Amino acid sequence: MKQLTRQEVRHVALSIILFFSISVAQAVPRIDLKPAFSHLQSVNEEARLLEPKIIPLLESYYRQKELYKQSQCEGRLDQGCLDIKQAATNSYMKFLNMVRDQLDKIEPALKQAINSMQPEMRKIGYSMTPLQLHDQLGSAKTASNQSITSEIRKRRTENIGLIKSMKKLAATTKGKGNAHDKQAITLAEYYDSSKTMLSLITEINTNISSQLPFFQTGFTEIFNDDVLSRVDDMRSFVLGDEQESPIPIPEPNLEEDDFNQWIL
Amino acid sequence: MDFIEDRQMKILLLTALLTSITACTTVPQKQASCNLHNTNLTDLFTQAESNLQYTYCQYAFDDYQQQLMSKAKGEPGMANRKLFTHFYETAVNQSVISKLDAKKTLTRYFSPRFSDLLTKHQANCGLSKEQDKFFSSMQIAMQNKREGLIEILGDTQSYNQAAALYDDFIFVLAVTFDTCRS
Repeated sequence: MKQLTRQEVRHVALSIILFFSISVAQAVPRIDLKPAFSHLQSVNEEARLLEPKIIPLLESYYRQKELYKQSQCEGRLDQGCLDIKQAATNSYMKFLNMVRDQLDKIEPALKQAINSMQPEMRKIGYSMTPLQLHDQLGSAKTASNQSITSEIRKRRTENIGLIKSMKKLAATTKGKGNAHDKQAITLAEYYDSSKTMLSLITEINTNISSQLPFFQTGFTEIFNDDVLSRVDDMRSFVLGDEQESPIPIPEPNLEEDDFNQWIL
Repeated sequence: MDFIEDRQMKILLLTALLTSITACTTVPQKQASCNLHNTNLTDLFTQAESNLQYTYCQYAFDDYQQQLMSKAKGEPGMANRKLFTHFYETAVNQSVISKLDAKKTLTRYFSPRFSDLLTKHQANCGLSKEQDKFFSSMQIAMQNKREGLIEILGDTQSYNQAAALYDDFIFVLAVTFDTCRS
């Protein structure tokens, strides 16, 4: 049997490596969204509990503020006016405590969701080519994909606040599993939104930590401009601004002629 | 002696005259035959395709592209896609450009896809080092699609599709590049 020269061995080895690199490069990786979905579902459950608890507290604060104004309490120190201030302070402190407690439960689930998405994101980064990604994103849109993408697009363009973000994120994951063919964008959206939410939670927690001692030490200027803007900021962080209508996704152009043979 | 000098002078003058006449007659004739005469759009395509059959006109291919695009912008419609496809097919058949170049140009201007810019030999993370350069080329591609799809074809639907794909693609890549760096 003929002995292979060193050069021949090198050629064979290089061919094998080349063959495997091409095979690896051409196989589109399968992205598993299920672990992330289950973590996001528990985020959703916690968020669902938070909203009905905090809305009455915020409403109570705004009601007291209105009452304070209508009763012309500005600059007065009589008991009725002090009671209104105290009631508003209590409502707002309860609101801050409630948000903090609930965020303590949400944060770990969100971190778990992010951790479970990281290896999947790395698949897009290291096992998928730009052309494969482009083709997956540009593939024909089914009705269900359109609704997911439209939800996602909507979220990208507006501040809907922490709770609605979490609920929408979880709602779009519900029952979808790996059924649709736009896994890359779904994953990137969930990953990016989860990271944004985590930053938002950190910001809210910092805000709460700086505000709570202020009220706990008997601060009574609950209706001054600074506190009012903080309350509005917190409201916007947690509940979001008003919603916009979704951006419509265009239908693909189905007209065909010999042009299709002439595009890449 | 004087006679010889006079004769030489006459020959020189005659040669110079002939040379200048030949120069004046041949060069403009060639240029004129390669030029496109301003007429309707379909005729302009016919002229350009016909001129590409002559090797001496093939240098004008880039000009033809510009002129045809500029003229087509004045008469937008889906029929222009067929005219351009045929023009590039002719250019390929006449070996003016390669088939790959023709496909790249047609994709760049008249398709909602961005495949002409993309590689299949490098993973997404490999692109992260040239992120800014790549995103700029995507922006330019989007301007080309505006020219091709909207101004030439009047195909707003395909342009919106391209815009949606552009949006999604840039977004997923940006998130992915962050992961590559972490």
